[in-house]
Amino acid sequence: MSKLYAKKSYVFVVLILLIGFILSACGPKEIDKETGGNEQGIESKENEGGNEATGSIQASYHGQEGKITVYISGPEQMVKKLEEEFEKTRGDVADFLHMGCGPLRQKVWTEKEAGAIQADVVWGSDPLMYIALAEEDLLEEYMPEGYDAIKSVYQIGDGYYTLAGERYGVIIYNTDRVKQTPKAFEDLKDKAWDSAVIMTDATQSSTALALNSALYQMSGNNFDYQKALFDNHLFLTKKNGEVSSKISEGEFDAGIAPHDGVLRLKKKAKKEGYKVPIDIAWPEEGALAIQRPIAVIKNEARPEENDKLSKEFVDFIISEKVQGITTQFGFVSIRQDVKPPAGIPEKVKIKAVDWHFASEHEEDIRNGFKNIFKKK
Amino acid sequence: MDLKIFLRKNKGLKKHTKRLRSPLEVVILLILGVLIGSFILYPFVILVMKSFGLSLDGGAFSLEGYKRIIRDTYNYTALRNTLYVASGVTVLTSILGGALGWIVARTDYAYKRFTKILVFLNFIIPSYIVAIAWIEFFGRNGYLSRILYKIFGLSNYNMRPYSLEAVIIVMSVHLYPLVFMAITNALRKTDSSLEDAAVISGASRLKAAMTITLPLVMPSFISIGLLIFSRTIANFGVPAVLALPVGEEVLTTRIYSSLTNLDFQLVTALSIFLVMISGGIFLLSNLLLKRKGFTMITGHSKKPRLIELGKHKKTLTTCVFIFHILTTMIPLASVLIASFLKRWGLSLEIKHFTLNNYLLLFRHEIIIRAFGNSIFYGLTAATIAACVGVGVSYISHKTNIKGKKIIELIASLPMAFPNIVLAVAAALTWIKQPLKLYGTEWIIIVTYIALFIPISIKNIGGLMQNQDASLEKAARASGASRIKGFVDITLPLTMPGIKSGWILGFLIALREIPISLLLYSSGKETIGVMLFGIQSNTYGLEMTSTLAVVIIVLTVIGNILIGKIGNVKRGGGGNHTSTS
Repeated sequence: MSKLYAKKSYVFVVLILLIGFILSACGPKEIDKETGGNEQGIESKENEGGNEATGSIQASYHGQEGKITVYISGPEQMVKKLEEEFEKTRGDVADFLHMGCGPLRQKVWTEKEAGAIQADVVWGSDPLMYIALAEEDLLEEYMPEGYDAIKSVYQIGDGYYTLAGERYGVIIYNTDRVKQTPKAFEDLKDKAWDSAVIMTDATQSSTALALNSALYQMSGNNFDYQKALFDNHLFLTKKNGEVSSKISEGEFDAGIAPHDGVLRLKKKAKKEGYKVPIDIAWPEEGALAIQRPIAVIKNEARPEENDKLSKEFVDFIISEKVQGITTQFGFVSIRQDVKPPAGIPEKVKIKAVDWHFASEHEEDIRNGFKNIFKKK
Repeated sequence: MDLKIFLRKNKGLKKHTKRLRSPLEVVILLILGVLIGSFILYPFVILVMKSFGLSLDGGAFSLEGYKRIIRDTYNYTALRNTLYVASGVTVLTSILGGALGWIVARTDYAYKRFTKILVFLNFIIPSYIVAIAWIEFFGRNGYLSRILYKIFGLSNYNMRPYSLEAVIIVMSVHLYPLVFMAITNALRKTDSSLEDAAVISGASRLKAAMTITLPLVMPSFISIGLLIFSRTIANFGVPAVLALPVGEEVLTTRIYSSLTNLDFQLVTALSIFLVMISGGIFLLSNLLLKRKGFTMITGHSKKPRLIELGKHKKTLTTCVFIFHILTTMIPLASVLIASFLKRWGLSLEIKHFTLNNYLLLFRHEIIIRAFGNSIFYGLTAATIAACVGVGVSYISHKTNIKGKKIIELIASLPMAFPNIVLAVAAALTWIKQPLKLYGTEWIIIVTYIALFIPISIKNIGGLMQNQDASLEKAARASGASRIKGFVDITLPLTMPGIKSGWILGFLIALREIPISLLLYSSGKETIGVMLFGIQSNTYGLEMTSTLAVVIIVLTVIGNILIGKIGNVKRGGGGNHTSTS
């Protein structure tokens, strides 16, 4: 009787071991390590092979055939609209992961660390990320259809990435609270602006990091400007969108952020029948041009169909129609045949930023920013 | 393998398994081992390893992360701020909760029921929402500045609502109910005749209270104080919204921003450091609770003689009412009013009010999905955690398995982990093959399971401990198997605990921010993610407020349900805010 039972329970033990494996396949190696690995387990040997899969970069494909993954940042409504448009012509062939530019960069970087970027196409307003990715040879070379329609100043990226739009770092101010409109970035250094200015945290948002690189260059490659803002108790928010929101809400008088948020706020307010007390002051130093590139991630294991879809998506984004749509959301088009959005004056001084320089000094700029704004 | 850990952790179990009556029990034991091993122990081990520079694929042992904690002065600031905030909150909650508790338990203050309801309401409002209300009230264009302008014509309102002190006040408003509950309980149990004796012998009321009652409730003060301290240390949402924007960091926000910069070794080292602090507090409070030496609590509850407030009654009542207005009414009203505004910041005129925010909320694809996700993740995790909780409690209270205390200890481990650390551990553990949960909803669910297991053990363990062992023995004597005895007798008796565990899961999923914030991917958003992140260009504080109102309403409903299920004893006045 007891023998029979013993046999039975043996079977169960084996069965459970199997279940255990399925449930937490990677447990043993880890735990054996912790305990010094002195108990030789068959399981750990069996599992040894399991870790090889993550070895080389982009050796495997993350998705399924016929469906691409797009990481995208930008205003919610615009992304939704683009998704609808793309699917109207192509069917349900793309998964859009919409997130802020900071999380987007973080996701791409985390996945790169883990072995493979899980996206086919990446689109965000973070020139620095694309330069870094191109340098690490993680972007696929592609000259999109319609490249010729792009204004020559925007024809950059050496075929590794393509500009798909531009936004301008400007001064935004509350028209109810501000009596004397600021004319230049310099003006915000004045003590009159104490505790009243807002910007995005460069350690949390990659667009803000880009903006700070631009301010750094504007100031003659130093942090004097940021230091002055710090002395004026600059407030740091998580997202760029919040800068224009909080100014329009009256919580702050002025701020530095991309211009497009203001245009969208005004549009929304007009539609819903109220007034937002907010406007753009085009700075004398020139508005800081921030690029919004798009690129296809390099992946040798990507099925051909998906490769084609990814490239079609890039074509789609720089097509005249889509560029027109992004203009409605306040972005500046890169195409010769698409007019700038309403709300941007004809003659506006633009300051070009050296993004390669910014990319080389990215770490210094981030640290410099931290040293100023994060209290020691 | 997990069996092996399990066996190793329970030396002697190998022998013991032979004595078990049915293979089914072995199965259950093993499944339990696998679940606890892979959801709690494994991530913990990975976290510790990673902090030393080790990983699944090897890596060299290094103390770099820890060295950097010491080298980098930002960490000192973060630590100093953390301790400052936690001490501030502990002191402030002790004063507020203690005084209010004394008034309700010992004096003839008339509106006790009303006060208790409001305190409870405070207790269940998520701390992040209190912080939002704080900004709405004290902000530069907040209600206060408008009131001052309307009434006194003041236009230079320039108070900055963002600071460490703001964190202290907001956290105190959120946590003082814990002190209140603990102190009213303790006061009710201490004999008021001791104090009377002192008064008769010539001491003043105040002296009697200070020299007799205060020392008697001191142990309660200390243990609840430690709980408050560790809760504050673990909180992420409030400092993230009130202190981070002005450059003040605490340890949790420091972990978060280091993670944004992908500084993994520092993140893990900081996490371990944070766990050591909160684990230390946890052990300390257990130690203190064991030495109940000088608590003169009589046990037989005599109705205490209430102190007559006499001529001070009116003044005191007014003070209590003002306190309630400040801590409960104003935050609730701020959020409620804002939720009806077309846009936060517009003047409070009829034409600027709308119901659209609520309509939009229920039409907004992502928000609806987030509600669905949160409820699904919460309930799934709560169900699995309840099963584990029942298993562990059963082993702990109804069997003689050697090493049962170790099982319970491991299963309770996550209690000492701030949520953000659980999230970091999960991110590191489940990001790679072979068990890659990163990017799926399961990474959140699995982390919730780890979070819920100790809560479920606390809920269920208490019920099981109080059950008379003879019940199940009677079943066994009448010929039922252990399993049948369990299913027919112990399980039904434990059901209230399991049910309330489910609702707690739902409630935590409604308010939890750091875990889902760090682990979500597109399509897997939770309510916490939306609450934290919906403010952007398209939506202002009015949408956050609308979401907050819905969360508060659902939370109240959930708590009423828990009350209905009833007879669930919850230690320390309830665990369900263990994430806030």
